[in-house]
Amino acid sequence: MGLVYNIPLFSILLVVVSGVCIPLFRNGKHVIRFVQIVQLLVGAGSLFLMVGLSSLNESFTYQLGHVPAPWGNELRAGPLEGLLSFVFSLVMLLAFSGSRESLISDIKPHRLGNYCLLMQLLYGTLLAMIYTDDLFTAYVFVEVAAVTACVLVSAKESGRSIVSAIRYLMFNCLGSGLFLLGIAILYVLTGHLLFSSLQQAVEQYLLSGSSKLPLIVSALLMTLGLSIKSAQFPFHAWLPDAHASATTTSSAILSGLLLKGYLIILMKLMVCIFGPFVMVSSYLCDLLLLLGLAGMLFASVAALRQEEVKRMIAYSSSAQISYIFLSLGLGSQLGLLAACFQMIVHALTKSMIFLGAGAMINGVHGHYWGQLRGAARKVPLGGIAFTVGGLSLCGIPLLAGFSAKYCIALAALDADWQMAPALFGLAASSVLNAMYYIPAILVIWGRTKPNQEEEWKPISIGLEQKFALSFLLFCNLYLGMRFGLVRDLIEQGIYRFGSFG
Amino acid sequence: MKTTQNDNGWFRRILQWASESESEGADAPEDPEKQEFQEYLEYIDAHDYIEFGAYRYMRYQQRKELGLDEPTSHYTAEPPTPQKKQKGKKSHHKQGVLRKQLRWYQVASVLITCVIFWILCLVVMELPEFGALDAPAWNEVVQRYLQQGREETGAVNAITGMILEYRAFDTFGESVVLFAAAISTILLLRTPNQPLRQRKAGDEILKELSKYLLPIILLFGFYVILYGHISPGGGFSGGAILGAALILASLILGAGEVGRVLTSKRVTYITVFSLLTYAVMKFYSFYTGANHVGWEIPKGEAGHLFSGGFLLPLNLCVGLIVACTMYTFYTLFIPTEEE
Repeated sequence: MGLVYNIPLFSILLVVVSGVCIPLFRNGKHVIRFVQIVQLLVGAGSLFLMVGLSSLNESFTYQLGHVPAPWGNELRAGPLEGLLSFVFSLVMLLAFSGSRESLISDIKPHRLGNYCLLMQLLYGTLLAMIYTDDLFTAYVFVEVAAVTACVLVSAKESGRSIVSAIRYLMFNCLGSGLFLLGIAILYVLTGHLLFSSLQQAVEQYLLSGSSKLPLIVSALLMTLGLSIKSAQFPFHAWLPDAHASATTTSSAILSGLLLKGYLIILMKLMVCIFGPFVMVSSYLCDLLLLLGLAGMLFASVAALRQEEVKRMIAYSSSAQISYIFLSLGLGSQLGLLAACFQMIVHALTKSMIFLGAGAMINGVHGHYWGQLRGAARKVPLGGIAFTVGGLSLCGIPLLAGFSAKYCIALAALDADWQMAPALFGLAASSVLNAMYYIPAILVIWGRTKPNQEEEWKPISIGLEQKFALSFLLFCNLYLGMRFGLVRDLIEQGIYRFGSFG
Repeated sequence: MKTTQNDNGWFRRILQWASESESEGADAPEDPEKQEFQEYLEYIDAHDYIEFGAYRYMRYQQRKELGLDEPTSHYTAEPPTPQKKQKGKKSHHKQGVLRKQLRWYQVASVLITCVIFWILCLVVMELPEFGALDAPAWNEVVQRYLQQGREETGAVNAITGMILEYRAFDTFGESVVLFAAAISTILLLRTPNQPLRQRKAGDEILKELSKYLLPIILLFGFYVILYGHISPGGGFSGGAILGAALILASLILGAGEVGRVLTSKRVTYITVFSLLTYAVMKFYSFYTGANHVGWEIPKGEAGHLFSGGFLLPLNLCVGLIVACTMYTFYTLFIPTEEE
C-alpha cells in the first residue's frame, strides 16, 4: 500500500492531535500560525490524494486497525472525497487568514487558544465526515461538530451571541436526537452500521417487501435530523442569529463548511444506503425537492427584510443550501453532480462574502446598512469581494454561482415532472437573490454626504487578508469560467462514490 | 455587534447580578445596562412577556418620540432603522399577538408529539422482537466479537475489546467529544484573573470519615480502570468513579485544598497528554494494521493484568480523560461562597 492511501487517516489524526496540543502553547497569536500550517499541510495532502486517485481512477477503503471492516472501522476515499477535503482545507486556511484581525480583536486573548482548538476539532470532524464509511462514526463526529460549533458562536462574548448559541444548541440537540433515533431503528432492522452491509440488508428488505414502514421512518428521521442541522428552510430559525452574532471567522466557516458536512452525510445516506429505489419509492426525493423549493423562495424573501449585513448573508446561506436539497431531490446522477458542485461553489463564495463583509464591518465599525453606506470605498478589497460574491450568487455569467446554477438547470432538464418546478424555483430565487444583493452592493459603494467625503479614505488591511480575499476572488472567477475540470473530477468521483454509476 | 474591551463582561455581570453576588447600590447608578435590565424585569412583571430586544426597541421608539434619542447604553449602537421601514412598523406591534401565537405553538407542539409518538409506536410494532435469536442484530458481527474477541484482542471483557480494539476509532471520537465539552466549558466560564472559586471545607466528622473513605473510592476507581479488560468496567465507568472521588474530595476538604494539587492547568495537561497518548497508540495500531506491517503488540495471556496489548494503557487514558472532564465541570460550576 502506497503512502497515498494513508492520507485520510493522517489528515484526520494530524488535525485532531494538533488541536489537542494547543493548550501547551502560551501565545494565542502563535496558535493561529500553528493552526494555519496544519491546514496548509492537510490541504496539500488532500490535493495529492485527489490527483493521485483521479489519475488512477479508483477509490479505496482503509482498514483502521487489524480487523477488517464489518467488525472494525474503516475510512473510504475517492477523487470526490479528496476534492472536498481539499476545498474544505482551503476555505479553513483562507478564513483564518482573511479574518485574522477581527479574530484577534473579537476574541479575548486568553480565549484565543481554546477558540483555535475548537476550530481545529471542528475541522477534523469535517474531514472525518467526508471520509467516514460507517453510520455510527458519522454520528460520533456529528456530536463533536455540535459541541464545537455552539461554542464557536458564543466565543465572542456578547449577550446576543450567547442567546443565539443557546438556541443553536437546542436545534442541534433536536437534530442529533432524530438522527440517532433513525440510526437505532436501522440498526435493529439490519444489525449493521457499515454503509455497504447496510445497503445489502436494505436491498433484501426491499426484495422481500417486509418492514417497509420502519425503513421509511428511519430514512425520514435521519433526513429530518440532518436538515435541521444544515438549516434547511422550515428549520432555519437558529441560523441567522447564530451566524450574524458570531465573529467573522466563525460565520465564514460555519456557513461555508459546517452546513455542507451534514449534507455530505445526507448524500452518503442517499447514495450508499438507501439507493435510488428507496428514495423514489418512499417519496423521500420529492420531500427533499419540496424542502429545497420552499427554502429557496422563503429564505430569500426573509433575506429581503434584513437590516444587518451578516443576517442577510446568513439567510442567503439558507437559500443556497436549499439549492443543494433541490438537486439532491432530483434523484439522478446529474442532480448529485450539481449538488456537489454547488457545495464547492457555495463554500468558496459564502466564505468570501463573509470575509468581505467582515472587513467592511471592521472598517466602519457598524453592521447595519445605514452605517455601511460607502463602506466599500473605505475597504475596497472587502467591497469587491462582497460585490463579486453577491453577483455570483445572483447568477451573473463568468462567475462561480452561474456555473453552479447551470449544472442544476442541466440536471433539472433531465428530470421528468420535476423539471418545471425546479427551473421555476431556480429562476425565481435568482431574481430574489438579485433583489437583495444589488441594493446591498449599491449601498456599500454609494456616496455619503459631500462634507463627509474625506472620512472615507481607504484604510489599509493586512497583507494576509488581502491575499486571502484575492485568492478567493480568483477561485470564484476560475470556477465561473473554467469549471469543466472540477465538474469532470466530481463526475469521476460520483461514479466511484456509490451505486449510482 | 462590535464590542469594546470593557463591555465584554456584560453577560457575566448579568449572571452575577442574577445570583445577587454583586453589592447593590454602589455600582448600580453607574451601570446603565443593569438598570435597563432591571427596568425590563419590572416591565415584564407588570405587562406581558416580551423579548428583551423588543423591549429595548420599544424604549428606543419612546425616547425618540420624546426627542431624547441619545442612547442610554454604551455597549451597542442602536439600529439606525431605514426610513422606508418605519411606516409599516407600528401595525405589527399589537398587544397580545405574541401571546396568542404562543398558545397556538403549545397546541401544535402537543399535536406533533402525539403524531410522532403514534408513528414510533407503529414502527416499534414492526421491528424484530428484542433479544430474539433470529433478530437481524444477532449476525456475524456480534458473533465474531463474542467468539473470537478473546483471542483477537486478549480481553476477557468483550465490551472493552470491542470499544478499544475493534471500534477504537469511534471511541477516539467519543473521547474527543468529552475533551471538546471540557474545553468549551473552560472557554466560556474561566477568566484568567478571577481567583479560584472557594468553598468552605466540611466539618471535622466528615473530614475524619473522608480519610478512610476517599482512598478506598480512589483505589476502587483505579481498580475498575485497570481491570477493565478482565472484569466488567473500563475507562468510562472507572473514570466516572475517579471523577466522583475528586468531586467528593473537594467538597469535603475544600476546593482550595484539592485545587492546590490539581490546579486547573494541571488538569488540562493531564487531559491533553492522555488524549495524545491515546492518539499515538491508536495511530500505531491503525497504521500497522492497515498497511499489514505486522509488529503487533504481544497479547499476553488473557485474564492476566498485563495482557491485551494496548488495552490497559488505553483504558487508563480514557479513564483519566473522563475523570478530569468531570472534575473540570465541577470546578467551573461550583457556586461562589457568600460570606
